[in-house]
Amino acid sequence: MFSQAKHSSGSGKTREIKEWVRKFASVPEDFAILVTELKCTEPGCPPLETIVALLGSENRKYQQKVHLSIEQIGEIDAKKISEQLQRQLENKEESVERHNEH
Amino acid sequence: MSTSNNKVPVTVLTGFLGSGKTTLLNRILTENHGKRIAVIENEFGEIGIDNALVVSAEEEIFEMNNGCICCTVRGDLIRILGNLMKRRDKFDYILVETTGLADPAPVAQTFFVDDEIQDALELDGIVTLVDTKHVLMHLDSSSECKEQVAFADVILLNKTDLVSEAEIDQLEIRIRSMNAMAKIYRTKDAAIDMESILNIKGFDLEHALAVKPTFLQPDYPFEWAGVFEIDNSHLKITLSEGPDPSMSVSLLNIGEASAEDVTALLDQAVKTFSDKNISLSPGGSIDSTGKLYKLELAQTGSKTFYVKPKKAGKYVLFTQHKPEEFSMTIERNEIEIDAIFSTNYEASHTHDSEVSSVGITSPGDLDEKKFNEWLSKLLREQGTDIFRMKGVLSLAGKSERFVFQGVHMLFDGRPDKPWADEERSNQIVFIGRNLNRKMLVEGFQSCLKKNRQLSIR
Repeated sequence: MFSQAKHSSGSGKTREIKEWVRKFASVPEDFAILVTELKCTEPGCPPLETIVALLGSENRKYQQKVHLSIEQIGEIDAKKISEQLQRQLENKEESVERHNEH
Repeated sequence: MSTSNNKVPVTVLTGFLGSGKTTLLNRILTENHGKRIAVIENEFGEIGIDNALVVSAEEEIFEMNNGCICCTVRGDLIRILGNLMKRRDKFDYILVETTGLADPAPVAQTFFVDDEIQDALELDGIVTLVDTKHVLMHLDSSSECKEQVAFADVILLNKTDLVSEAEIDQLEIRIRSMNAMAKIYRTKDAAIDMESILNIKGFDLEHALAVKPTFLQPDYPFEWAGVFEIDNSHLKITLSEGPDPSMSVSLLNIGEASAEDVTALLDQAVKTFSDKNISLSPGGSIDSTGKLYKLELAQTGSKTFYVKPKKAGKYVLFTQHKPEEFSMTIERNEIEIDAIFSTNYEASHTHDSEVSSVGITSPGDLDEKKFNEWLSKLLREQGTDIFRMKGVLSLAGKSERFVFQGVHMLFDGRPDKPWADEERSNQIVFIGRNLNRKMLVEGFQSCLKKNRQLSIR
């Protein structure tokens, strides 16, 4: 649990991921981007995922998960995440497809 | 005025419809406290201050999960906070007013899921207003109302002019049984000093347990304790008919006839009262300490028993019922005597049956690996029912305290200042729904390096 302690180690990388998402996907101006890591130690569960979510007004929300930590996400990963999010934006579907590559 | 780390503090105001949230909000906005406050109000808000920076929110819930970990945040808040931070120079404090039926958890969790939000903003505290006149019917029927009380750092028992002092006393006992961590104030028209509700550092790890939890007296298996000096002449106890055909009693050694010394023996007395009893017929003697005696009182007329410990000294007698219920008298050498010190243990019948606080205090060191595994499992399995937790831990082999706090499954912890000359000890408080006190205590105990005496509240 102590290894799961969620305290901010600095927002630099998070900000960078958000900038990549805005660069690679046409995120409407009024949308907020949320980047968060979730960990689960239960056997059979994904140990760690980063969720990138787009949150717009009128409860419009799109999210994409990746089995990488925030620190591990590079520009290429961010591009793939953004492409998935872009498809969701265009289809207006709330999808949670996983992107497993690194 | 932002905090020293330049994060903007955020206070969340919760409370059922009619509890006085808007009154408090308007009061905060008109007070001369020197803060420029941005307000995120619920969509039905009625703020009457023209030049306040006010944004309406719509309570949009966004749920994330990964395996067993589930986290719900407020999507609209994330959006609004992001936009507000672009106007960072316009304010130095943020107030979030929720609707009466809001669950505080998504609001609180919003401040712990994104590093950018965490770096810019600091959830300072949750202030819950309670309409003392009408809250009881909501407390019985609404999970949101219970959660608003359970999540709070500060609770204002408002509209005190509409109820009697006795009713407020009863209400405070019930609310205290649910949330042992909150500071509780009684207010009329939501009139309260600003320093009691703003900048209170309710989620700041440096202030973990700075507010000492206030636990209600637990329901003890005894209702009275009396301290007696016993020399070679034994004591004679006489009882008449009472509400039960028997009464359990226990005798323990005590250092001094003081409230502190009796309190120090309470855990031992509770353990003794859970032991197998020794049946004692009239004429029998209580001659051992640390044993549970069941005085048989079925026969009519007065019944006599004796207290004959093997050594002279001071002793405390714990009785299952109050002495007056059996017209109990105690004599030494045929002269009736009173206890040097005595105290009653009233059973409280106003506990909330669903939401409660459990506190565990223990000296000694924790096995970090075991504690990690135990707490992880606990949060995986019961994280949705554990609203908040806070603690200061002594981890074996670590020279620093470990401080932590959590909201549901989100856990925030780090090493804190080093232990000095004081005894190393652990303190944890859980606030939640259907908490199993026994299971929590046993689980915690199994993580201790050595067997230590626990203090459980």
